[in-house]
Amino acid sequence: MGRIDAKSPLCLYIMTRKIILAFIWCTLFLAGCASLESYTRRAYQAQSSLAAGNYADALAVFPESSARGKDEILIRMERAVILQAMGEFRESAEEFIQSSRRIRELEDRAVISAAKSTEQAGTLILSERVSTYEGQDFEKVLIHALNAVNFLLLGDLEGARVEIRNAYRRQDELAKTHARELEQARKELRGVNWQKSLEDTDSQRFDALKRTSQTVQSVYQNAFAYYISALVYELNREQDAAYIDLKKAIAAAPQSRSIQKDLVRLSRALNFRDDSRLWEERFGNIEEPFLEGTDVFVIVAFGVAPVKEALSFPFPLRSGGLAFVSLPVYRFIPTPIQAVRVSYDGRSVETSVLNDTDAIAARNLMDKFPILFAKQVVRSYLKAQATRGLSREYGPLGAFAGTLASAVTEQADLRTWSSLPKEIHVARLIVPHGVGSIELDSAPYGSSQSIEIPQGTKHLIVWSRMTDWGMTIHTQAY
Amino acid sequence: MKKVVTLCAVAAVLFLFWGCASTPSVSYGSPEQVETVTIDFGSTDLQIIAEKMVNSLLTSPVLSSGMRPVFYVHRVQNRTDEHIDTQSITNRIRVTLLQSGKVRFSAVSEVNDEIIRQLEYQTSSGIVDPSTAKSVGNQVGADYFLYGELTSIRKRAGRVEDVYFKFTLNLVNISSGLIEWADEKEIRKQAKRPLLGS
Repeated sequence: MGRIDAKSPLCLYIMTRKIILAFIWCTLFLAGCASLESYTRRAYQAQSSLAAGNYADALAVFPESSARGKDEILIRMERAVILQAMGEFRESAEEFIQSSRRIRELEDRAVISAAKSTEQAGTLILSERVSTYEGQDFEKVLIHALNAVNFLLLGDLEGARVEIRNAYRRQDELAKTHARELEQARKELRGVNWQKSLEDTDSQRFDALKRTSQTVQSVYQNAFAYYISALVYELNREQDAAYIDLKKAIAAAPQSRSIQKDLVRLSRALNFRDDSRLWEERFGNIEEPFLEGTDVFVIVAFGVAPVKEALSFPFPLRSGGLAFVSLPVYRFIPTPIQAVRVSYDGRSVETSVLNDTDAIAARNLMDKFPILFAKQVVRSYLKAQATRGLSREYGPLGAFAGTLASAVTEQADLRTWSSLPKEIHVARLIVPHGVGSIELDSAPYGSSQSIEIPQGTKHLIVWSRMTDWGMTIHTQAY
Repeated sequence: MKKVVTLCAVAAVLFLFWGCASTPSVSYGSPEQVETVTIDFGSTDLQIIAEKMVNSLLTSPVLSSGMRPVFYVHRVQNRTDEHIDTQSITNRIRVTLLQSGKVRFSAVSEVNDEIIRQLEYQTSSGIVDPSTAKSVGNQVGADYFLYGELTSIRKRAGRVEDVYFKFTLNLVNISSGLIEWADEKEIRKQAKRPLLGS
C-alpha cells in the first residue's frame, strides 16, 4: 500500500477534521465540566463569613467532602486556615500536612506522565483553569510556616521544628525551580512585550499590581517563615540556628523592631561581639531588650487575601489575526485595621507586618506572568489554527463559531487561596515578672482584649485572628 | 502540525475519561517486607534501626554482665523534616530487649500518674482487699535511661532526591551520670523521578 503524502489535500483535510473534532470535544467538555464551577463565588462567600467572624460558615463553604479532584489542595489549604482561626489546631495541622503531601505527590510525578501531559495539553488547548491546582510558590512556603504556628499552639515543639525545616527547604527548592522556568519562558517570549499588552489593556490595575509587588524583595524570602523558624529554634534551645534565621528575617523585613531587638539580644547571648556591635550601630538605641521576665510572642492575622480577576484583551498573533487573551490580576481588599498594639503597665509595642499577602501574591504573579504569557501564546496559536480549520470547512459561520469558542474557552485561572489573612503581624516583648496580663488592641477601631500570663511562664505564644467584628485569641505557655 | 493534531486528539479523548473513580485494592503483606513506597521514613527504616540498636546493646558490657539492670526510655527527639512518631522506634527496641531477658524496664516515665492513682485506690479507697492491696514504697529505681535523636538531611537536585537519616541512642548511668553506651545507625535513601509514568 502506498503512503499518503503529508502535504496532499487528503491528508490536510483529515488533519483539519481532526483539529476541528478535538476542538469541539474540548469545548463541549469545558461547557459541561463541573470542575469549572466558579471558585471565586465560593471564595467570596468564605471571605464574607471570615470578615464577619463567622468561621463555621466559612468552613461550611469548603466541606471535607469537597476536598477532591483538581481543587483538593486549595480546599485543604482553605480549611486549614479557617480551622486555625477557630482554634482547631490539630485538625488544621492535618489539613496542612495533607495539602503539602499532595503537592509533593504532584511534583514527584514522572517527567512525562500521562495525567500531567493530558493536563498540560488541556491548559494549552483550553485554559489554565482545567489544571490541577498545585499551589503557588509562596503558598507552598506559607503552608509550613502556618503549620509551625499550629504545632507551637499545640505545645509540640518537635512538630513545629519539622515544619520550619520544610519551610526553609521549600524556599530554597522553589527559588531554583522558578529560575529555570522563568529562563525557559523568557526564551519563548523573545520579542513579545507582554508588559505593554497588560498596560495598554488596564494600566491602572497593572500599575497597582506592579507597585504592590515591589514592596517585597522576593517570594522566596518570607520574613514570617524565617521569624517563626527563629522562634522555634530558640524554644528548642538551638540559639545558633535561631540566629541564622533572624539574619534572614531582618533582610526580608528590615523595619521589624522585634527582629532587631532579637538580633542584638541573641548576638550578645552567643558572644558574637562584632555582630552585636554592628546591629547596635545599625538599629540605634534598642530599648530594654534584656529585661528578665516572660517572653511574649504575639502573632496577629487580619483581613482577607486579594482575589483574582480576569484581564481579557485581544492579542495580535505573529501569524496574523487576533487571539483572545485572558490573564488573572489581583484585586486587593482593604481592611479597616491599620495597626495592632500590645500593651502592659502603661507601655505599648506596635506589631510589624511580616507577611503582606497582597504584596507577596502580587510579586508571585508578576514573577509568573512571563510563564503564563508564554503558554498563552501557544494556546492562541492552536486556537487560531482550529478557527482557520472551521473557516475552511464551514465558511464564515465556521470562522464565527471558532472565534466564539476561542473567546468562551479562554478563561483566566481565578483560583486563589482566599482565606489567607491579608497581613500577619508579629511583636515580641519581654513582660516583667509580676505582670499578670497584656492587652491586645487594634487601631483605629479599638477592638481590645486582655490576655492572661500564667504564673511561671517563660515563653507565651499568642495567636489572634482579627475580624471586622472582634478577635479570637489562643495562647500556649512554655 | 501533525504533532499538534495528535496532541489535540489525545487530549480530547483523555479529558473525557479523566476523573473516573476507582476503588483502592487492599491486601495483607508481611511486616518484615522491605517497604519502598516513598523516600520518607518508613517501617523498614524503623526495623533496621531497632535491630542495630538492640544487637549493639545486648553485646555491651552493661547487659552482658548478667545483672538485669533496670532501664527507662527518656525520649528520642525527632529532628528531621518529617512528622515521625519516634516512640514507635523506642517501643520496638524496648520490646526486643525485654524479650532477651537481659534487662528490665521501669514504666515510671510513661505511666507514673496511673501507677500512683492505682496505689492510692488500692490503699485508701477501702474497696480493695487489704491483703491484696499493693503498698507504696516498693517501686524499683531505674539504673539507666535511654535518650537519643533522629536527624535527617534531605537534598533534591533535578530528578534525584536524597535523604540521609541518622539515629543516635545513648545509655546514661543515673548514679554516675556517665554515658555507658552509645551507638548510631545511618540510612541513606535515594529516589529518582521516573521519566515515564501514569
